[in-house]
Amino acid sequence: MKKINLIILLLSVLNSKAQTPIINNLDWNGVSIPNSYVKDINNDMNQFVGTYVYQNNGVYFKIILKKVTMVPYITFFADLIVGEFEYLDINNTVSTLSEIDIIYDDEYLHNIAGLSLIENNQDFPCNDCLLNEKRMNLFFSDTQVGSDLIIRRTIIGGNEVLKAFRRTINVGHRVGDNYISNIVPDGEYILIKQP
Amino acid sequence: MKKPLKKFKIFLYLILATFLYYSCTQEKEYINGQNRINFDLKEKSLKEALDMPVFSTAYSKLTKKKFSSTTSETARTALEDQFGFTIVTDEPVRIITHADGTTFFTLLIEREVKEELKFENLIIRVKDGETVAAIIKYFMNEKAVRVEEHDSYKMTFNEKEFTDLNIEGRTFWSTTPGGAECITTQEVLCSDLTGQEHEIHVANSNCFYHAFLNGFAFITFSDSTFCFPNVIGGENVSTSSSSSTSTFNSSGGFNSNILETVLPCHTANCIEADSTETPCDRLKRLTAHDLAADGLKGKLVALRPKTNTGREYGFGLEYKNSIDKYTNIDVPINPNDYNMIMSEYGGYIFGAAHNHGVNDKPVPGFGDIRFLNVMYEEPNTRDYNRPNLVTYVVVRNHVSSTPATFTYALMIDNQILLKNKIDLDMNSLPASWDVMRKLKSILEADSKYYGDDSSTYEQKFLAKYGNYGFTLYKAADDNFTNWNKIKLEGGIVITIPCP
Repeated sequence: MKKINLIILLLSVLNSKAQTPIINNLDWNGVSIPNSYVKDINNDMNQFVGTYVYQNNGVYFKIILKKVTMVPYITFFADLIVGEFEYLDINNTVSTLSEIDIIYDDEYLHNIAGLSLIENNQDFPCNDCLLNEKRMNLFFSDTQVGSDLIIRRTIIGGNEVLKAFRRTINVGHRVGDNYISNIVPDGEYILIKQP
Repeated sequence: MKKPLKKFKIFLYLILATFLYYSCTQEKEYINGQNRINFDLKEKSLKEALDMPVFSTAYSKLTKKKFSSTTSETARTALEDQFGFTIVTDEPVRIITHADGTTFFTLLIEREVKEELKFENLIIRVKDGETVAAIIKYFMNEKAVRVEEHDSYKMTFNEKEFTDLNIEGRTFWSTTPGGAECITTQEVLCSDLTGQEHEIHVANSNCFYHAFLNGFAFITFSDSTFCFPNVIGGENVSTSSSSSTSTFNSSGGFNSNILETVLPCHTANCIEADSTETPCDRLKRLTAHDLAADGLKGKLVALRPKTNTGREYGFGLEYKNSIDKYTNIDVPINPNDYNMIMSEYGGYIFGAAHNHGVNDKPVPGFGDIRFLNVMYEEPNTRDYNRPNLVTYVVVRNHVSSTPATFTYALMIDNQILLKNKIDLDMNSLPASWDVMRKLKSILEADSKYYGDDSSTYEQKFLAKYGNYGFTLYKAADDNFTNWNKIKLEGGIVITIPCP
């Protein structure tokens, strides 16, 4: 009898482990369901993985992106795109590239991170995107100021590029305080994919 | 014929110049009833005051180090460390300049523990190049009541406590002529133009400005005598005295050592909340001004075309000196940050307005709700502004072209509920995330939650945030003739016109 009980207990533990509802990233409605898994079922995120460089008018901006799968995110699990960057211009030199291989318990702590795949008609609708093309809306901290980073993979002039649009998040500003400046200016960058 | 005309013109210019000179020289002479007051009262920010050599020299003596007004080290002085207070740097410095050149500077100070019905001022006197300073602690009878006309406060004290400070071996007491055992302070007060006693309030530059405009003002003084029963040579001495009020003696001058004006604390510990205006009335009043005026109505209208752009524009709303005014659209904005404004909070700010761009959701968002609470929680926000805090959001109509835009306003009903709800949302996210990361995560989830159907955004917004302790209002039409409350009942959006 004891053995039967033990088997039942083991089965129930295994069963509870297996109860991780998988949600297609594109169907995720923003609600945190504990222990669910918001999965990049169609591997739409894979196109973004790589190293990209923007170089123009004394500005050098490099982004490395990688995909991590089924990592903890708030109360559930998710596939994320995470990344780090290097930015140089006449006033600033900042690089977080050394952090790209760090495996955090919370991978959202990378300076670039996010899970949201977006369709053409969603956040910052894309008129020249291909039918069924997927973009991403990531978080980007330039180590001073956090922002949206809308990324899109496309081809321009025969080059594989990453179009990245940065927009600072408005958290408010106390009257009289010194303004904390962005290091990476807001705007659109076209970064060329590196071999 | 030309020469007499030229002479006549010169004569006219001379008369005009004489008139202008006379007008200018009259500016500094203020009238108390029928008597002239031979001192000037004005306010400057701490940074502006530090540009005055007389103040920066005195302040350097307090800090015991060279001070640069261009640095941000307006923070702690040696005196602050010694006596455990902090100068409130966002309150103006009141400056009284006496006819003999003696200048008094009054600064509001705070301590870590706020005491109910008590506050303190640091008084600095510079006379013949010598600096002395004291702290006066005020024990109020009841909370101060705001006087709109002069942006001041009515208050009465049952006691004051005087702490003489030792500045390079000098104190108020040691510089009192004849070595008197007691010194008298005269608190400068002001009344409205009717001169009614019950309207007497703390004098500020508005009283003097109104005096200049109207030719007279009612200035009175409240005397307090502080005696030093246990004088210890060179040590700081604290004593207290009940104050007595005496009106200005028309034949007399000043026999006091200290001419003071009070800077009241700006927390709820000391100031009575005085708003009786309903949110609906306030929204209607604020947008009742003519479109052409540089008022809120015109500024909100100017945000409408911005909803077709890819970025946010915005401005801040201030209430200062009994006047509503609005910062320029786009201020403050970082040169590196041209896609997003940073809404200001604190100080005299009582609200913010911005548009959502063509790519943004056409309803207020979590960031807008959170900002209401940020404004409320900010210690520097003036208490008289707290009941009136408002966030305006101008959005594009994504469903129809008529009207092309909507204007929403959010006002707080229950701040404790609002704070708790927001704290719950923010604290449910990992503690290792900074505010921007948390906001991004919430906005990202909200974006998925709203989906693509613009016609359901209002309903979804209210379903998620409708119980956060604020009310959502929407302008009834393009001319702001009225505002509607937007609520959710049984899952359906209902519109309740403001009465």
